[in-house]
Amino acid sequence: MGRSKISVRGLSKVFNPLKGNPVVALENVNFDVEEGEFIAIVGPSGCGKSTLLYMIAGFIQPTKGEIIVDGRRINSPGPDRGIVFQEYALFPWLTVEGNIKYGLEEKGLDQDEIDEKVSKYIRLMGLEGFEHKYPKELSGGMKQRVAIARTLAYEPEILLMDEPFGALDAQTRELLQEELLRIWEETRKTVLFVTHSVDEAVYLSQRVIIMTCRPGRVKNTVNVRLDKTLSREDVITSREFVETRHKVWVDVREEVMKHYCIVEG
Amino acid sequence: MILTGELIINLIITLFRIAGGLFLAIVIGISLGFAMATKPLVRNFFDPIVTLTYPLPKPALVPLTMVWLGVTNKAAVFVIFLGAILPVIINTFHGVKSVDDRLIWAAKSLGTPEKNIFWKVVLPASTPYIANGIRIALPVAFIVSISVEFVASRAGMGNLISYYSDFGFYDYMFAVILVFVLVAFVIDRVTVAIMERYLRWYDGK
Repeated sequence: MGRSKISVRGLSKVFNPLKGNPVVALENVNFDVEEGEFIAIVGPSGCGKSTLLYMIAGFIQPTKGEIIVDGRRINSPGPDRGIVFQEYALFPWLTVEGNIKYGLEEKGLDQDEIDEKVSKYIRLMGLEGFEHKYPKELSGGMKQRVAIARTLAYEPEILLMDEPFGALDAQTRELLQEELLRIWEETRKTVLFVTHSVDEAVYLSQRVIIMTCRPGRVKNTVNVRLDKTLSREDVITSREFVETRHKVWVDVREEVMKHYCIVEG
Repeated sequence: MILTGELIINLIITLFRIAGGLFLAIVIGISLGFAMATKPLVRNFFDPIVTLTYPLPKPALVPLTMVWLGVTNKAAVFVIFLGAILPVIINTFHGVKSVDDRLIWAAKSLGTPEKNIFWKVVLPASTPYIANGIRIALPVAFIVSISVEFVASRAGMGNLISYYSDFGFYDYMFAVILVFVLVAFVIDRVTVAIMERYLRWYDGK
């Protein structure tokens, strides 16, 4: 077996708020991700999925344990890991083009290379004609296209996605899911995709990691064996999809119910 | 009054004082606002000063500045500066505080080193707030300038108003007030137009 692309070892995170008791967000989380794998992480809200992703991105530090990427322990953001947030986090003062350019300029590429990459990713994400618009002039779906283009243009090996389609309407969401799959088929990047939608997780990923409710732990891992070359219609009506979806759903449901018990008293 | 150039000269004197006070207030106010938002030590020192002096009517300080600086341009500029700096500090402070963490994270993951985050993200993200602070500081500077000139000046629009009023030339007095109001209005409109041009990306209400 080859070396893992990402290795999460005994990861815990405790938040100490100024008032009140410490919150254990994650407790002893372990998993490995192979190069080129598409992993979905699902769980009830507040289970620390986003916290986990932010630690892998290097934005926040674990309380215990470690994250190893390509054999090196990480503790800060790096060019190998790109992030896409739910609420886009576009730079509002930059145009669509300016946003996509941002990372390329930080990389110090020369102007020709930047122009070439910008137009490539504008085409890839279907943003032609919007180059000079500001984020506030775009719909949620278009903003997320820009955010994905910005991250892809930087060409990270790992794509970390924090509920990227969670704020979009159902139709836009399906469209972007299909586009993400197409891009993944083409580029074979390693993807970690956080979502609370079981359908989305099973439709997109090769492996679903289910988290327990607080403190977040890995409850179960379900392998997904779907033929991604089929159309959406054929995939979601296949027996494999329905069975896998059910398996994941039962686990998630159990955690959501537990969560309710804690919240409701 | 117009023929002798009295009005124009006094208007220019007042506008220069306002410009001087505002300029200092903007430069120092933005720097201090940033420092307070990012360095707890600076914040702990200046926060009580800002909070306590905010409700203080700045013209109340005129007698004191007259003792320190005499009846000079410096005294007038200083009081205008004091009045105008507070909204700049407060708005800059809130602008920096309200920068979304995720914008900073996005920049870091796109290769911006920690030391450049300020110029690349924090400053542009807080410009709408800073602009708002300047917009509030502008009329404050106009108000304070007239109040200062009533007392601690031998020239300027405030001085002219009190002079005509003392001698009962009320028509002249109102003419001066009207001109000043018009000039202030035009300057405010121009400022807003410039801000809207440069902040057309901003999605605030």
